[in-house]
Amino acid sequence: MSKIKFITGGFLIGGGSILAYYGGMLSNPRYINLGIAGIFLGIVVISLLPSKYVKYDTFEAMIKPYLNLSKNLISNLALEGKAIFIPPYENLPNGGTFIPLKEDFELSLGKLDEEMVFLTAVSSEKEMGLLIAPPLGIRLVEKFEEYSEIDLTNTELNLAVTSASSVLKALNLIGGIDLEEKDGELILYVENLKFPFCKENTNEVCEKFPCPICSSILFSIAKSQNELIKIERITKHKDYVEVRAKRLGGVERWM
Amino acid sequence: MDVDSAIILFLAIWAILDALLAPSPDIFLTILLIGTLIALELGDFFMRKESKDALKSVAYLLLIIFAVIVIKKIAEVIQS
Repeated sequence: MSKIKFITGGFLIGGGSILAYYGGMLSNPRYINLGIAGIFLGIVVISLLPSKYVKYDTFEAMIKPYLNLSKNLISNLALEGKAIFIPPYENLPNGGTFIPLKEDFELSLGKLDEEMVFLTAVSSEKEMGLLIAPPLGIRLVEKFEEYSEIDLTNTELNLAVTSASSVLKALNLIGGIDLEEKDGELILYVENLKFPFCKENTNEVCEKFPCPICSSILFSIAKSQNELIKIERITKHKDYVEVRAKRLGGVERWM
Repeated sequence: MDVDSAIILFLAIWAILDALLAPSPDIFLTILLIGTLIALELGDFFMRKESKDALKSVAYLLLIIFAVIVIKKIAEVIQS
């Protein structure tokens, strides 16, 4: 792709320069214009076309084993709780995702740190769970910030969702995101997910171990609101995925 | 089609139509600047930072050319 980009760009710049020169010799403004247009487009092609592409089949072959691993992990660890997105704080500077062992969980953020994976050294079973820190999809969240040139920390909810929607759309991962908030419950409609294999995962697995796409959206919300966000329900429809999430309050509440 | 390709397509159509319809290189370059600014404004939220920076550099170059055209025109008016 990189080679094609430079060949096309070089050809346009070269051809444009010759045409502009020829136009100048003949005093023909149309040739000069077309020549400059060629140079302009050559520069645009060289600077805009992305040089790194991975074939869809290759990507699918790489990512599928991870999806199977996540399914096995959830079933073998018998995790009952649904994923909770933790915004960055002192112990987890990049934030995290916590999947509680029990649905009726107790969370003590003071006991978590980045080195931890399984939280087992606690007094009650209700506090046990699996910690993924930093959360899956953090690189996508970094892209949201890079593209929109904003720091998502403590920004408006709508801005965070718009930023996630625009960037994921630009990366050709989804068709867009719509957000509704009803009685403290966040309802996200993730439209037109581009990966068919996403639908192969059951709703239950997604609720406990969301993929990097859903994870990045929910983590950006947690980061912008500086609140813990818990997945309530994920339902897959034909053209969109409905994600219901709940605000659990700020970090201080769970320390 | 990804956003970068859509912007290239938009600029290509804009530049070719502009080249064919503009009566002089000065007008052509001014309209090309307008097209680049439209692409920057519309694609702002959807473009990678590198792409945005590259397109901004092109817009700055066209702005400098536009400034030269304006100065040239002012000089022409003063002289006549």
